[in-house]
Amino acid sequence: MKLPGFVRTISSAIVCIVVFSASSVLCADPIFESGTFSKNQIYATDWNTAVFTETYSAPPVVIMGPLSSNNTQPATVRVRNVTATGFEWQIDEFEYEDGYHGTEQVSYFVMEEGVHDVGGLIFEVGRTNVSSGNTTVSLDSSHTVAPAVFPQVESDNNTVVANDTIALIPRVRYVDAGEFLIQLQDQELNTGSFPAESVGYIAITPGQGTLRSRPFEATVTGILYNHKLKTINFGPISGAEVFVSQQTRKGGDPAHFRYNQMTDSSVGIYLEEEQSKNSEQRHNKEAAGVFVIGQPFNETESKLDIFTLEVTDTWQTVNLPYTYTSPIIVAGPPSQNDGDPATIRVRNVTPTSFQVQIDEWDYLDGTHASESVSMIVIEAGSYSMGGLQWDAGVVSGVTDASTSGTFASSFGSAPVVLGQVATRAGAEAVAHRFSNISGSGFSVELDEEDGNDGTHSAEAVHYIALEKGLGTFETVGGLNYAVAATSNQITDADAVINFGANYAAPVFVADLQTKFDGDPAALRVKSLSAGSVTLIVEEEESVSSDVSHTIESVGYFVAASVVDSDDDGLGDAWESLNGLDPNNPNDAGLDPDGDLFTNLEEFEAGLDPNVFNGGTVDLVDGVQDAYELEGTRARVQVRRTAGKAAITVDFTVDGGADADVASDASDYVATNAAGDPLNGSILIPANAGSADIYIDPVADSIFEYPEAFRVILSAGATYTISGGNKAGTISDATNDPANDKLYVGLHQAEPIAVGLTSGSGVATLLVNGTNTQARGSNSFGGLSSPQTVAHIHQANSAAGGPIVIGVPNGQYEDDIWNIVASTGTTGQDLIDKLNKQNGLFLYLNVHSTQFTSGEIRAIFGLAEGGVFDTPAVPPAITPLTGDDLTRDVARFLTQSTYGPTAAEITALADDITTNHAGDRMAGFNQWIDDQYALDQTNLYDYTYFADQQEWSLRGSDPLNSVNSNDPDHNNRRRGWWTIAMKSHDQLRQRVGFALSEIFIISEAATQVRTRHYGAAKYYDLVVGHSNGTFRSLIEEVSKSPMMGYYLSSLKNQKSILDPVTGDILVAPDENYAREIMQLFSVGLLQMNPDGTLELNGQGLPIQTYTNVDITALARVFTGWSFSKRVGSKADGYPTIDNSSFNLGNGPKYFQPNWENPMKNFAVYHDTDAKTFLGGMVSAGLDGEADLDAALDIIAGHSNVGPFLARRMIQRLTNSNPSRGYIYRVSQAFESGTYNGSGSGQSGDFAAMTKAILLDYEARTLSLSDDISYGKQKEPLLRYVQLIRALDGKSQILLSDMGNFGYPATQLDNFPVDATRYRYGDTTTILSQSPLDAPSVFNWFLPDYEPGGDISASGLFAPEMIQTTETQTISNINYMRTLTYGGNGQGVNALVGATDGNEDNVQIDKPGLQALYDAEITGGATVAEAVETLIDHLDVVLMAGNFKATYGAAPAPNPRSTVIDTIIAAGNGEKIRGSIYLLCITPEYIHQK
Amino acid sequence: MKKKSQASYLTRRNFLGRSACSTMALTGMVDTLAHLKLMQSSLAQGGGGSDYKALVVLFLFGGNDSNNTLIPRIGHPEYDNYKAGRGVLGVLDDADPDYVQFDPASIALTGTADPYGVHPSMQPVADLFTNQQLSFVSNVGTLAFPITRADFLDSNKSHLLPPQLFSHSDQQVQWQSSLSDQPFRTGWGGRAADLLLGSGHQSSSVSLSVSLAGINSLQVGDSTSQYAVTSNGAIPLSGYGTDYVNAIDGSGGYLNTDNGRRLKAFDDINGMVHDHLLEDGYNKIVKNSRDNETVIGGAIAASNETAIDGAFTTANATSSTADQLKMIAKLISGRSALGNNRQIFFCSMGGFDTHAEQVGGHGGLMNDLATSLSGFNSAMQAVGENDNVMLMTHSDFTRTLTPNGTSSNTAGSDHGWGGHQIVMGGPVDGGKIFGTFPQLLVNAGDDAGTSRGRWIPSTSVDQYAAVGGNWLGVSDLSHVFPNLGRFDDPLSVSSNVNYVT
Repeated sequence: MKLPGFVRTISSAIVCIVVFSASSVLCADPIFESGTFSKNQIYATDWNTAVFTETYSAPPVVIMGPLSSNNTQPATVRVRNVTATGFEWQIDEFEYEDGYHGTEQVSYFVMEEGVHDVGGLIFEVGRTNVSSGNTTVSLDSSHTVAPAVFPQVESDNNTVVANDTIALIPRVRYVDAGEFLIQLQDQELNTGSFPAESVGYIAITPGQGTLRSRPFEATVTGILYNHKLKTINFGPISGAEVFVSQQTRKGGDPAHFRYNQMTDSSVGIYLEEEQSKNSEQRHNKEAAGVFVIGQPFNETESKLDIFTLEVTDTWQTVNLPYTYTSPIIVAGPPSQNDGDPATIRVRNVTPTSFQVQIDEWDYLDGTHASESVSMIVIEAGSYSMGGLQWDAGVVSGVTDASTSGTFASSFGSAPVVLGQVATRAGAEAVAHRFSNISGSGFSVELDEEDGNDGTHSAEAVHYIALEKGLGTFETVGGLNYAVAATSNQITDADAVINFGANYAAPVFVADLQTKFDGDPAALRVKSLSAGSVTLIVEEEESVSSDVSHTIESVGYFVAASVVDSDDDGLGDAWESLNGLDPNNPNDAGLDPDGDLFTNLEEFEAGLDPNVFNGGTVDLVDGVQDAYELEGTRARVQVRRTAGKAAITVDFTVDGGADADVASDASDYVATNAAGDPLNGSILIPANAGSADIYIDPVADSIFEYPEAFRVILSAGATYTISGGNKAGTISDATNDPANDKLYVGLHQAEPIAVGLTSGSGVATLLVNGTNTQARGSNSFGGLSSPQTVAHIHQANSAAGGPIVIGVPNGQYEDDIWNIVASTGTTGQDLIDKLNKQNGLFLYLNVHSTQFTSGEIRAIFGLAEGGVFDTPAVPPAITPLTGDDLTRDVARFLTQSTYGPTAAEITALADDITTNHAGDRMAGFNQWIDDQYALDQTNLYDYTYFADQQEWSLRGSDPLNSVNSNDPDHNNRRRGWWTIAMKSHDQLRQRVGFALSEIFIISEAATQVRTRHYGAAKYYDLVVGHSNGTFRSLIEEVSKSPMMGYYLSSLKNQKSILDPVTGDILVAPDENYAREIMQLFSVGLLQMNPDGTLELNGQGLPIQTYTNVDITALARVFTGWSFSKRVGSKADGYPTIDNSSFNLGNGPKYFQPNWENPMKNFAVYHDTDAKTFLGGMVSAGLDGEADLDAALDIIAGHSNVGPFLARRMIQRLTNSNPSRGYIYRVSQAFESGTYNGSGSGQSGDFAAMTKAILLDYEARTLSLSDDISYGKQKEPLLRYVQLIRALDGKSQILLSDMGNFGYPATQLDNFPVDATRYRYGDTTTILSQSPLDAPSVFNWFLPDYEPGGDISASGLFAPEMIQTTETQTISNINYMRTLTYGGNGQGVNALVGATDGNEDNVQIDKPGLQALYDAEITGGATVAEAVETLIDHLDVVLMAGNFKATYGAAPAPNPRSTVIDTIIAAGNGEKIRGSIYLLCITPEYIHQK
Repeated sequence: MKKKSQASYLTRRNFLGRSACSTMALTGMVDTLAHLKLMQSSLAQGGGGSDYKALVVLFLFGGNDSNNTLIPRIGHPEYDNYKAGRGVLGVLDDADPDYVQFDPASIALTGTADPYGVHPSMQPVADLFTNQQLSFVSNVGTLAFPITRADFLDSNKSHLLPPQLFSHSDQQVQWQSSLSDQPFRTGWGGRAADLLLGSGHQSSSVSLSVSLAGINSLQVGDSTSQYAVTSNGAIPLSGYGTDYVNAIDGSGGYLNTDNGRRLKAFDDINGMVHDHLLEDGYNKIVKNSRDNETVIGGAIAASNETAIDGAFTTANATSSTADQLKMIAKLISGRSALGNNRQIFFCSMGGFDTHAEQVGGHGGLMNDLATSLSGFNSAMQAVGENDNVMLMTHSDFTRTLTPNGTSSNTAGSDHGWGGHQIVMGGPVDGGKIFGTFPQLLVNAGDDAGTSRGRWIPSTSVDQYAAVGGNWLGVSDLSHVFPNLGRFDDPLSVSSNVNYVT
C-alpha cells in the first residue's frame, strides 16, 4: 500500500506516514515545545529564566507570542541567551516608558533549527543577524507558497544600561515562497542606529496539522489588521496558544500586535504603535501571520499512536513517541508489493520501542520486498475515543492451541478485534487467528505453515478491541474513523470493501475475525483509497499449492489521516493550498486542470490539481530490430505513467553514437502504427498508457551490416521525461535460416604454393540474414605437410591481407564466426569484402609446416545457383632419370597392374630410354595402348575348362554331377587368381577389377556363387569394358541375369492392382533402380564437374533423386527374365530360347540362362511413362526401348563423370584426389579423349584410365612425399603383388588345361610357364576374396574416415575400413605363411595330383638368395649385401620409396631397422626375414 | 581427434551454465573434449563406481522385415490390414480361415494388450518375451523431426525428412549416428563412450567400445576409438610360437634369436611415428592390436567359458551372429581383465535385404536371430551378469508391407522406414510392446508414400537409443543425442518407449 500525499522520505529506504504523533526517531516531528507565561515585569533589567522540557542538541529558536493587553504601555517581548536547555526573556517596554509592566500573558514556541516537513507543512526554523536595514532571508526550496513568518529578537547587543535592552520590533515584509525581508525598528524617537541583533524566525506553511499530538493551524491573513481590535478565527483548537506577526510593512511606524479575547476558536488582535515621538497610534492595515497550537488531544491519554510504515524483511526498531507502561501494538495487513505470502512479526516490545519485520513463511527464502503496514500503538486499557469504546490488552501464552482472551471492560456487542503476535519465542513464521469473538472476549491461537509440525512456542498476542461504528477523533478538525466487520464473505479472491465514506489519506488496520477455514492464512491489502480497500485472504503453500480459502469475516479500522471537513477524501489543507473549498464535498470529482485526473486522484497521487499533468514518459523497447527483406518494422514504445490526458510527445531519431554502424535518414522512416510518417512527435491519446513509434526500414539491395538507430525523447511542457532513448538496428533480413546466404570458396594453391601442392577442398560460410554471424565449414585434403593453422583473411589487395579470425584446424563444420568490427575494419568492411566489393574479398587459407604463410586458400563468393570454377591446369610433369625414373616406372606399374616384377620395371624403363628418348609419359602412354591392344583373358574360359579338366580327372560328368565330385564355384575363384598373377593384359584386368568393385555382384548371394559360369561371364563383361564405354557397360550390366538376380531385377514385374480398389497389391522391385543410381552412376548428391558437391542456398547438398525417382525407374526394370535356357537332359542340356518369364535356375553346370543377357517379356513390363532424374521415358515403349531410354537418361547425367572418376582414382592411385584430378579424369571420360587422342566416345573408360594414370598428380614423384598421398593397398592386392614380385608359383602348369579344351588363344595370354593359383575363400584371412564383396557397397566405402589424424586432416581412407586390429594381424600372418612356408593351398588338391603340395605357391626365395650370395661372392660385406637385397625388394614392393625416404635418414628408421635385423639374422632367415619385415611396413601397405 | 563442431561446443557451455558451475570459466577455444572431461570429472565425482554395465548393439544389416518379426494376430486392430497388405509374405494367424496347415503361423506373445505374435521361427524369442527378458519397441526409425504423413507428402516440408531415406548405407549410418540431418561425424555409441570415459569410469587400454563386426559408425567417437575383435577374440602374430615363446623371454624381453629380433623389428617399426597420415594410422592399429591382444586373451581366460559355451549350445545357437554374441559374453564374463566398468559392444547380422525369396530366407534369419538372442540371454544368466547387460537391435529400416512379387517362393519386399526393434536383458521391462504400433495401411495412416506401406516412425532413433544411453549412465543425453529435444522425452513418466525398468 502506498498512501499518496503526506508521504515523506525519511531515508532512502524507508517511508513513513505520521498521523497522530511522532512515532519514531525515523519519523520524528521536529522537537518543539510551547507554553504560556504570565508575568509581571518589575524592572526593565529583570530577566526571566525558562528551562526547556525537551532536549535539544543545539539552541533552538524561541518565538514569543503577542502580549496580552492588560497593561496598555507599548512593549515588546525580548529573548536572550538561548541555549540547548533554556532561555531568558522579559517584557521590554520602549525606552520612553518606565520599564515596569503589569502582568501579561505571553505564549512561547520553541523549535529546533532546520527545515521540517510536518504533514506536508514546512516549518523552517532559523536565525539571522538583523539591524535597522533590510536583511533578505532566503527560504528553503521546499516552500511552495508564502509562509507565515514569526520573528523574534533573541540577543541583547544593544542596551541602554546593562540588562536593559533597547526595545526592538522585527518587521517582516515581502514574504514569498523564496525569501522575505526583515529589519528591526526601535522607537521613533531614537536614531535608528544600533548594532545588529540575532533574530530567530520560524516560517510556517499556511495550513492545519499536528505536531506530535497537538493540533496547529498557520494562516497568512489578508491585509486586514490595524490599530482596531479585530478577530481572527481558527480551530477550534483546545487550549490554543497564539502567535501573530506582521507580514507586511504598509505602515512605517513601529508597531506590534497585542491580543485580547482569546477563545478556542478566535482571538482579538490589534496593532499597537509606540508613542516615543508622538501619541498618534493609527496604523495602516497589515497582513498578519497567525500560528495557533493547541493542547494534546484527549486521545493522547491513551498514548494512541497510529502510523504507517514501510516494513522490510529485516528487523527494524520503531521508537515510540511516548513512554508506555504496557504498549499494545497491532499491525497490518501488509500491502502486496511482493507476492510471497508473509505475515507481520513484532518482537522486543519495550516501553519506548519495538521491532518489526515482514516474516515470510518458512518454506520461502525469507527475502521480501518492503511493504506498507499501518499500525496502532496504544497503552493497555479501556478507553472511549471519538465516541467509540476501545479495549487494548495482551493474551500471553498463546500457542497453536486455542486460548481465551477477556476484555477489561465488556462491549455491548461483539467488537472488532485487531491483533498482533508481539513476541518471538518461536522463530517459525506464525499467524494469529481470532475466533469466537463476543462482547466479553475471544479465542486466539497460532498457526505455523502446514509444512511445519504445527506446534509453536507460547507467544504474547496483543489485541485492540474496538466498538463497531463511526467515530471522530478529537483532533485537528476531528479526524473521522470507522470500525466495522464484514459478513462472512472474504476469501482468497479479491474482495472490495467500501467504507461508505471517504477517509482522506486513509490508515487501515484489519484482522480476520473468524476461523472457518483452518488453513494458515493472513490478510493482504491489494489497494487502498479514500473510499475502499481491496483485500485477500492469503494462504501459504508449504505443502499444497491450493490457496483457496473459504469465507471469513474481516474486522477493520480505517481513519482519515488528515483533516477533511467536507469528507470528500481531500485534506482540508490540501484543498486550501490548491484553491479548493475545504467545505465543498463536491470538488473531489472535479478536474480543474483538465488532465483527466479528478481532484481526489490528484490528491491521492500527490499531484497539483491545478497543473496539467500529462504524466511521465519514457521509452520501452518494443521490437529492437527492423528488417529490410521482410519489411519488419522496429518499434519503440513511448510509455506514459501517471498521466491520462492526450499528450503529444516530441522525439528525434538518429544513428546512435557509433559512427561505424550508424544509419542515416535514408535507411528508415519513423511512422506511427498505421504507417503514417511522424514528424518528430507522437500522440499518446487520452487514457492511453503508451504509443508506438515504428521505424520502417527502407529496403535497398545492398548487403549491409546492421545499422543502428536511436530514438530520443525531447522535453515537453505537458509531460516529464524519464529515460531518454532506446536504440535498435536495421538489418538486411531476419535470421531465419531461409535467409542464410551461402558463400563458397574452392581451395586452390596459395600463390606461393602453386605447382607445389595438390591440396584442394572447399570452404563455406553460411551467413545469417543480419550479416552478423557465419557458420563456417572447411574441408580439404592433399596438403604437402601437416597443417599448422587456418584463418579467414581479408584481402586488402588482390594479393591478400591480414587475418580476420582464426578458424579451427582440420575439417570442421558449423564453426561460428561472429562478424564484428575490429581495429581498422568495420563490420560493413567485412560484409563488403565478403561480397567482393571494390575488387577485394575474404578468403580462408590453410597453413602447413611447409608453407607457413599458407598452402591453399579459398576465396569466398556468394553462391547463387552453384559455384564451380574450373580447376587450375597443373604444371608440366617433370622429366625423370636414373633411380627416379625407375621409381616412377615401378609406381606406374604398381598403379596399373597387379604389381610389377623386376623384369617388367626394367623393360619399361629401358623402353622409355630407348624408344621414347627418356620421355616416360610417352612410354607410359604407349604401354597403355599396347596393353589395351592385348587379347582379353577371360575368366569364363578358365572357369569352364578348369571344370572340364576336373570332370575329366574325376571321371565324372556334369550331366550326372553329384555333390561330392563337384568343382562347384572354386575354379571361378581360382581363375581370378591365375589371371591376376600371370595374364599379360594386366592393365585391363587391373582396371577391370576396379570396375568390378563398382558394378558389383557378389558370391555372397547364393546364385552368384553357384552359377559360376554366369558370374565369370559377368566379370568378363565388366573387365572387358575397361576400355569400353559406360553406356555400353551399364546396358550389359543391366541386362545381365547375374546382376538381375543380385539386385532382384530378374523376373521383376509391373504392379499388380487390386481389381476392386485399384490399390497396388504388388509393386515392382526397387532394388536395382536404387543401386544403379546410387552406386553405379550418379550417386546421391548433385556434383560439380570436379566432384565437389553442389550446394543449395542453405549450404546443403542437393539430392540427385528421391524415392519418387526410384519407384519410377523401378518400373523400367520390369519384365526382364532369362533369354536362354537348357533343353532336356536327354539332349545333353542344349541351349535353347526361353519363353517362360518365371523360369527356374536350371541345372548346375549348364547355365545358358545365366550366361546370356536377359530379354524383356512384354506382359510383365510396365509401359506407362516414367519420369526420373529430370528425364522421362515415354509411355508405350517396349522393354528394350524403355531400358535404352532410361540408360540414356542415366548416362547423360552430369554426375556420372565425376562420380566414377573419383571411385576409379580411389581404386587405382589415390584415396584423396584433388578436385582438379577428378575434373581432369572426368573430362577425359566424358570426352573419350585424353591428351588429344582416344576413341572420342562419351564415357570412355580407356580415356579415363589414361587420365588417371598419366595425371600430374599420379606422376609427380615429389608429390608422393606428401603426408596424405596415395592409398592403402587392398589386402587382396597386397598379397597378389607380393607373389608377382617374387614370382610365386605352384607346381600345376596352366598349359595343362590346353588338353581339356582351354583355347590356345587364351593360353597365349600367359607366359608359357604360367602355373595355376588355386586359392580358396580368402575372406576370413584377407578380408577380401574375388567376387565376394560383402554387399553391393563393396568392401570399401569411398567416404570412409577412420577417425584420428586422418579424418582430422580431411582424408578418406576407404581401404582402412577393413584395417581392424584383428584383420591386420590376419593379413600379416597370411603373408608370413607365403614367406616362411608353402602357402597351404594343398586342400582341395586337383584330382590326380601327385602330391598334396602341388597347389602350394612358392615364392622365388632361391632367386633372392642367389642375388645375396652373388654380392657376398663379389666381395661385398654382409651389410652391403643385405642393403642390396633390401633395395632390390624395395623397388618391386614399394617402388623404391623405402630407400628414397630413409636412405639418408638418421637411424633408427624402418629401413635401418629392417637392414640391421637382417644383418644380424641367420642365413636361413635373411631372405624370408627381409620379405616378412618389408611386407609389414606401412611403406609396403601403402601405394604412393 | 576430430574437431568438434562449434555448435556442440556451445551446447556444452550452455550445459555448464545450467549446472551452476559458473566458476568454471571457459576461456578461449581450447580443446572441447578436454573441457568436457574437466567438467565431467568435476561434476560426476564418483561417477565411476564399481558397478558394471554393458550395452550390446546388434545391427541387423540390410533392413530387417520387422513387419514379419512382430506380427498382429486375429483380434489385433491391424490384423486385417496386415493380411491385406502383406499378400504372399503374410504370416497368418492359425485361427484365420485362410490359414492352412503348411503355412507358417505366428507364435502368440502372451501378456500383451492386443494379440501379437512373432515369426514362427522365433519360438525362443516368444519364450524370452514370456519370461520378461525381452520386449519390442515398435515403429522406430530415423527422424530429423517428428513428422506426420501430411508433412511427408508436403513437398515444402521435405527439409524435415532425414536425407536419403530408404538408402541402405545412409540409413545405416543415420541409425548409428542418430543425427539423420547432419553429415556423419561420430556415432551415438562413440559419443556416449566419450562421456562415460570423461565421467571417470574405469577404463583400460582396451577401448570401452568393442566391435565384433569390424569398423562401424556407431562407435566412432571423438576420443574413444573402437577396438575390433573377431568371434575368436584377438589374433596373435603367427610364427613366434604359442604365447610368443620363441621370441620373448620370461621377463617380456625379446630373445636374441631370429624370431626375437624379427619380432622386435616388427614392434619397433610399428612403433615409429610416420609423417604420412595413412601410414601412421595403419601403424597405430597394428600397435593397438599388439597391445590389446594380451588383455583380450586374459579376459577370455578369466571368463566362465564353459557356462557360456554351454548356454549357446543349449540354445542351438551356432551362427556367426551367435559366435559374436558368445565372444561378447566371454568378454563380459572376463571383464575383470579388461578393467572397463562400462562397455558398448557392437555386433551384426547380415542378409536382411530380402528383395527376393523372402519367405524362406527371412525365416532362417529370424531363427538365427532368435536362437542367438536366447543363447546370449542364457549365457548372461549363467554367469550372473544378466542384470548388468542390455542388448538392443538396430536395423537400416523395416521393409515395405507390400510384396514385390506374386510368388511366395520368389517375392520379397523393398526398403521401408520405421520398424520394430528388440530390447533384451535384465534391465529391460520385459514382456511388453513399447512405442506406438503403426497402422498397417497402404496410402493412409502411417504410410510414407502412396503404395507400399513404409511406416513413418513414431519413435525416433534418438528416443530409442537415449533410453539405453541413459541406462548406461550417460550424464548428458543432449550431448549424445543433440536432436533429442525435438521429440517427446523418452524418459518421462508419460513416455511409452522407456523400456528400462
